[in-house]
Amino acid sequence: MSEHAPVVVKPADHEAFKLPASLSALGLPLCIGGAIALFVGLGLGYSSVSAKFGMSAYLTAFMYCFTIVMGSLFFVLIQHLSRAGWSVVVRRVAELMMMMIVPLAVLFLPILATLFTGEGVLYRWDSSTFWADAHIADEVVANKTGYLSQGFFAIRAVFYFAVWCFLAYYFFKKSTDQDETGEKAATDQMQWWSGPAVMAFSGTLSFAAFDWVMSLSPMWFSTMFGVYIFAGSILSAHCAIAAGTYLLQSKGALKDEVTVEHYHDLGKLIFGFVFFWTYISFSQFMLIWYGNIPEETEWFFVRQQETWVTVAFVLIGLHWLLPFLGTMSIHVRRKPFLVFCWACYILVMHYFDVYWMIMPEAYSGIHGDAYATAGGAIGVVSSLLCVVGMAALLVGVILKLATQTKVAAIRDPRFRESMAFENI
Amino acid sequence: MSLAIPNGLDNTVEKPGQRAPLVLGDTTYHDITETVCQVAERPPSKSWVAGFLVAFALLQMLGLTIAYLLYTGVGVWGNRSPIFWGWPIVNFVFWVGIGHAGTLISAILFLFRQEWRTSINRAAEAMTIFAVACAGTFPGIHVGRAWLAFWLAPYPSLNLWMWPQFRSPLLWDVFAVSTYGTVSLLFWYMGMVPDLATFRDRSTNKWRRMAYGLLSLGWSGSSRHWMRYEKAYALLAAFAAPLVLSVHTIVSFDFAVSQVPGWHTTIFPPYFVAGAIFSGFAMVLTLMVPARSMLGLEKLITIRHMDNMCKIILATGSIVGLAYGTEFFIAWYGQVGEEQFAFTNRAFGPYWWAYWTMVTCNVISPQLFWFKKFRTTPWIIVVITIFVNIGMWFERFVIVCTSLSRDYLPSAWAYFSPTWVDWAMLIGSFGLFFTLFLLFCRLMPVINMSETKSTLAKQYHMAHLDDDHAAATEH
Repeated sequence: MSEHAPVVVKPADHEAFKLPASLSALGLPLCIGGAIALFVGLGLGYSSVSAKFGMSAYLTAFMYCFTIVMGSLFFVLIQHLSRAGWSVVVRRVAELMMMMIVPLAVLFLPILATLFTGEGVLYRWDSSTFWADAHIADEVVANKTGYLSQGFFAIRAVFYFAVWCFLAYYFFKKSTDQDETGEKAATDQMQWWSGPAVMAFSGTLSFAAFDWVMSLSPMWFSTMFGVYIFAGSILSAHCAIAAGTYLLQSKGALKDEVTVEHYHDLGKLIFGFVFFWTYISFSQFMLIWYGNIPEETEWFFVRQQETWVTVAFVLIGLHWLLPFLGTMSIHVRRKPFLVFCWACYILVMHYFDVYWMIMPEAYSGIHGDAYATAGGAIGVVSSLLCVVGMAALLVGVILKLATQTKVAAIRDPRFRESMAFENI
Repeated sequence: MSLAIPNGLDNTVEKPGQRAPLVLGDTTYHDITETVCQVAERPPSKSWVAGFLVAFALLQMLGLTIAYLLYTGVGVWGNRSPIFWGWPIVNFVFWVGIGHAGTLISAILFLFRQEWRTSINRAAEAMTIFAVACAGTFPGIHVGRAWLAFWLAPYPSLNLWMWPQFRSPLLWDVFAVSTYGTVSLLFWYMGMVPDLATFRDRSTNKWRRMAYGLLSLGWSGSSRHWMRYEKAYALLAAFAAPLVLSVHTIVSFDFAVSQVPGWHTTIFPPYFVAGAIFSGFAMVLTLMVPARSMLGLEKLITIRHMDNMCKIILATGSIVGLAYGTEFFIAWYGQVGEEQFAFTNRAFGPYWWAYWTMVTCNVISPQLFWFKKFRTTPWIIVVITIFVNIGMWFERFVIVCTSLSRDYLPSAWAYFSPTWVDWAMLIGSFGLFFTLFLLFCRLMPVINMSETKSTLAKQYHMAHLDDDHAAATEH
């Protein structure tokens, strides 16, 4: 352990804890630009390729943002649960991101609307012809449609969002109130509630994963699927926290508070979660491949046709191997710029992962459509506009929100500890 | 000079911003050395001798039943068609699971900078190794002709002209468990070297000095030694961390790659790992709670340590509960008849009693740890953790026996009944575990003295940082 430099905590109203003006100016343009891009992207896919394609691209963009937001929520909960000291200076970034669950609840409405505006626009189970053609016993159809029905699906979604919005709001409010009051009891309360909150989080996230993504292939099932979504969430959230913190610092905020040690830690966690994601996705694939039961292999079969097999190999090589090797070294993790680059890179790869989860269902060969070519050039443009638009919109909202708060939980009782800790 | 916080302080309460002490009382560096060394240096207590005699007798029972098994054949077990994997595999998986806490504590908690690991890691690592030894016994004798168990090793056998089946997860198990055992042993031993040197230096008798001298590899405590030691420790921790995941993942593959309903499910790998950590921590607590008071280690292994471990048990127990629920839900959601039958049969079939024992012990009993009273009262901890151990043994029993006993062919269905040999071996394996653990308590440094001292130093340093801060804000 090296000698500690004296830790000086700046006063709460210091410039270092305000959102830099250059970033706050971006808030509104990002919101407007993002909304337009999202609207154009969805419209383009919807009209130029197909309704199903447009909505699938929209769902992909939604799940991409949703997983990052949910990962951030989990990050905040787990920091309180483990009474973590190191992360206090970067926790506000995660807190701001987790609040995006509220706009995401609104952005979920178009997905919900597909159930009530046509037959099987997005979800195949939402169509009577699907069940009629499926050659399945009546009893099975009755059971499946009992769970996968418009009303029940909507009720569950409302319930999930209610839980998450409540959790996000509670932890955000407590933490931002503490900025003003400096009340230590708030930390105790957040610690106390983080336990039940993690329980509520894990149950609802698993079922949301089953409902929103797994049910795209109505007869397919995998008990691991919730964990798979979670693995992508926690990885991408750590990347987003690292990237967000770096951007804040590059514009002048938190200059002395976030040190190389925090990037080192985030880098280690990113490395660890790259491996965790691989572990979960490999286990899911391997067990289904090895078991070789048609009911289960269906999902991977579709994803091993034509374009999708390329995407699968991209995931193996560029979502696992490259970042795994790239973030392994201490020399990378202790250079904030490199951590930032890897974080951005993995955030791009995370989109491939979500894309590969969702889009093959829009273009699966099994039901007579052509094998995937992702809707041609228009499809690619539409997908990209959707995700960039939705992400920009949410970043804009985050920036708007951040102008009203501080960019660090400055009066958290462990703030000094967080500034002072050292890895080596 | 006293570095610690006065005795009697409740270190389970932590004011935010002020870390609770992990070493209690008026403890100095010297006190830590004395406290730990006296365990091995004073004559054995009556309770130790009594415990050792019981454990050693059980170990003899294991030895005798193994001899009987090898002499007679595996027919002495209850394994019958279609339940070819009976208790031996249940016991194997149970013991491998127990062996997960040690390496988690020493590797993953080390990487996560959890200071509280320092006073419990040594004993937990020892338990890991002893548990792996117990686990390794069962597949070794389950192969039938135990003298040919070396065929599992990947070499082209001249007798058979063939290699082991690389596509079988049973073979992966051989690699996974032996790697885990080797790395855990290395980790445990390497971490002990500085403390063994302390034992050597304090030895008053020639033989002890020679034995500890050999084991401590010429450790002199020079800063060069420490530098190398710390580097090696961090590297081994990094190697060991994925092993914590891999071992039980591969054990879960033994089941999950098959097409047996109730076995073939994708959540098995993380669910098995969580269950293993759950049972491992339970066993560590079952033994450490009585050991700490019998060996006089209360100031080093504090209530806070137990409180933390109880929380890990609560967390992993809840993960296991979520996995049970997910399995049940997906069995219904998937609408595959065999899968649904397997799960209904588990809960309401002939093994309902085993299933509900498992659920009560694994899912319900750890929920009591939501209450601080239960996490901080030693005897309650022992009772709950024993329940967890029972539950985790039953989990493996439920998985192995319920699925196999109801095969695809109803005419082959059967009910598994253990024989007296099954019982004797299960109980005897505890004899092996306890014998090794009691010997460890007498012969080795039960607490990592050097690391606990560094925790004490840090505790002192942090307290002074706070003083400086308080002084600075006053001015």
